[in-house]
Amino acid sequence: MPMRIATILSASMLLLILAVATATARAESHLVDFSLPDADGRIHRLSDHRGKWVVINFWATWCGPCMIEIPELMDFHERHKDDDAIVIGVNFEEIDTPDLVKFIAEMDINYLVVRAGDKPILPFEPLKGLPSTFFVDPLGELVASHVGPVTGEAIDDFLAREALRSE
Amino acid sequence: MNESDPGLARGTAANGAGRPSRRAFRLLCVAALISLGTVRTAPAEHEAGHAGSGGLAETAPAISRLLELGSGIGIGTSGEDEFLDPDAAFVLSAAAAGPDAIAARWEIEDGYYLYRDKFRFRVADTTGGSLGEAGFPAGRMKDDEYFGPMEVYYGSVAALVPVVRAAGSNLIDVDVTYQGCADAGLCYPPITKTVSLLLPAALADTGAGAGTASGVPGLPDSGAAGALGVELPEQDRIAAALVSGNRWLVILSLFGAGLLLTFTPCVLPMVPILTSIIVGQGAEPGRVVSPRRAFTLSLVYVLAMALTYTVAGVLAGLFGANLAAAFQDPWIVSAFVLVFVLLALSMFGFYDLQMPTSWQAGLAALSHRQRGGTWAGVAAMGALSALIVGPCVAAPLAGVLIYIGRTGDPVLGGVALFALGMGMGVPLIVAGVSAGKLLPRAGAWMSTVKAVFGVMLLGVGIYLLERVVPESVALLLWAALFIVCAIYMGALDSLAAGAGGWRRLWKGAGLVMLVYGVLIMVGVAGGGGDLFRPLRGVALVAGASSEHELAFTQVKGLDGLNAELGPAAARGEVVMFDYYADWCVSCKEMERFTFSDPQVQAALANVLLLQTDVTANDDADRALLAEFGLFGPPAILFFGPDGRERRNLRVVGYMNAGDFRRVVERAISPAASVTASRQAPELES
Repeated sequence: MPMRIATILSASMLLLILAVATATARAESHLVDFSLPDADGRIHRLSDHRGKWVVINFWATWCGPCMIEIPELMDFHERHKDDDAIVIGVNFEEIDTPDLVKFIAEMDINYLVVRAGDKPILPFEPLKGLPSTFFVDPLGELVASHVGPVTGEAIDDFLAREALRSE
Repeated sequence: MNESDPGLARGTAANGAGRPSRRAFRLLCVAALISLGTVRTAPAEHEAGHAGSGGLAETAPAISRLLELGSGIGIGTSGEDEFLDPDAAFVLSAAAAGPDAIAARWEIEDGYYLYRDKFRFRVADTTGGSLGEAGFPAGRMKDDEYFGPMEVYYGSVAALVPVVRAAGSNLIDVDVTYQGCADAGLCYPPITKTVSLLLPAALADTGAGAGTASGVPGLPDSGAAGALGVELPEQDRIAAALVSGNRWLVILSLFGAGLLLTFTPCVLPMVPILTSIIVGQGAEPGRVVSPRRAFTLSLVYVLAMALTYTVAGVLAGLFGANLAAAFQDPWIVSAFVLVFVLLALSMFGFYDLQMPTSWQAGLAALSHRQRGGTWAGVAAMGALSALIVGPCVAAPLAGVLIYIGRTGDPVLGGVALFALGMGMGVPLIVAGVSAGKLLPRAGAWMSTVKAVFGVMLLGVGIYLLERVVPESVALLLWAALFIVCAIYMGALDSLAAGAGGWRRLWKGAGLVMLVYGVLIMVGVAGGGGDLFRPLRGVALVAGASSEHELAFTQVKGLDGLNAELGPAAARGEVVMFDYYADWCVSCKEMERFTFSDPQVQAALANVLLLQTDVTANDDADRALLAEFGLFGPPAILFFGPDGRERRNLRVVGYMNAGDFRRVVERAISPAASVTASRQAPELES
């Protein structure tokens, strides 16, 4: 008899722990943010851009597919920046500042580029390779990710679907 | 070893970019684990918040609360699951490719490629040495949409990197960096992996140079190495296999090594121990050992032994402890001897008569009544046996332990040692099971078998005791064992008329033992003798000359060694350096059987003989052992006229006079002083 009581007690303890863990995990995984410097050293916070979709694109200068993708993102940014979405590029490599500045100028990148070094940033995981793109909704919640190149058109479609869903 | 070629010496491949990205990958792994854990606890959320594509998302647990954009909007071909992890896309293996080159090879998955200009090789800070320019085959030109034509590798690629090792070290840790992409449009950040390699020592004959270098990356030139068979000491070979090889192959080969180890004199004594445990059970009245029970008992014993090896190996690797000395502590050894004696006495039936007074007897009775106690007892015996036998299998273990210490990969090291232990254990299981089968229900011979086991146990006890008591005491114990056994065997009883053949044989064997025991006693009384040559050093016959022993110069600590090595190198003298300890049985065997050989002594005539006694195992001794990557005696090192250690001639463990003489001749041959220097051969991928 005492054995059975002990079993019930430990089982309910386990359930309690699980419940608390679940609740905590939900609360923490809700909103995402980061503070990263741009090429000039100014710090930018992701949460400063709440109210719009933020397309976060991880890239590096050694990454060929990223180079193909960047013009697409520039075009998307140009079309959406005054309306419902912006692009933030996260440079994911150890690179000298002048080289990065020069590169951004040569590519004529029209969106904000911040630097992450080569360390991944939570919760933008997993970062299997480059390019990787993450989508943060206007409330600041990370809702989607994509590994590999994306096109501006694909992002347009995605936003349209999201808009439909929230209605 | 390549000072003659400074062009090779200072590599251009060194590049600092590797380290941070390695940290990044570690972080990535940790983060992936964390996110996995988080996701598991909150599976319902994305269903509620973003219904519609939950089914798809679940296939990628790490981002399961995120929508799979690719799948969601119809791109389809570039979702998370489509891309391999970098370690799966590019599989790196590396190995020593001779004394002064390493080979690295990548297996590249279809649809993935590596950039030729992104490879970097750099000596890690942990070891000295430097690298030359890596040699790569021509790649395929890939027309990159953005970067233009790039030289890349599909399928596989192998590179050969010349090595200039640090003085006195055969170990080299190399950071290998590479970077590649998938055709489907994903590029992986640069990957840096550290590989620990043991280089075979430079071959003595330069004739074995560029032309004969093995075409297979990672295999030392077998033609030249085969000449003597000791070019690559055993522990180096094992370490090299561990570093370079496929893990399963490594585990399998260590299992095989364990099997072989069982048949060394050090391990074989364990067989009667295990078997006696099972026999002891079977001898209980009304109880028969079934093969199944014998098997499980043996398995428990072997598992405990293998696990002990695992633990001991990992710990030794992590802390660089001296296994041999730790487990040869007189108190520990004495405790084991006591256990063996107690077991032997029970085999002789003493406990059947004067039952439980000592706690061992009580425990034995308890374990006979309770199955659980029996398992635990067997497991304890297995673990203890592993500890006590460990030092005996010094050479193969050293290789594995060096590897663990060098790589800090306790997982592979632990698994490898476990495999080794299991390999050693399989014959024990077979022996245990067959002993159980061979046992009939009852029989008059039963007590004889038990007694034989008892004698064997006593023999093991004396064998262990040899390390902690004076030689003469151990010999007297051996003599007593032989003589008392002989008496029990009826050596001095008169045979009944018409006695059977077996009885006569038994008495004959008893007489032989009696005579041998007496001879040992005579030897001890004469101030000499050893177990295998009882009358050695005893002048029974006029004119019998005692053999002269090698005159070693004793040195202490690294400073002591260097003080002798320096002048010797100045004189151009070859040096033999012997690690000795009182408790080291192999060392004593070397003295008895090998150093006493006239031909060996002749070969060593012009060699400076140094010896260090590490019985005390103090800080200086440990430092001296660590300097050469050794874990304990026995070990014999040779230094060429240039004052450098000839690692390929290292002798670990007992070696007979003939083989040892060839090693010495090798060490003193003029060719030994010629340092091999050669260009890296071209390598087809």
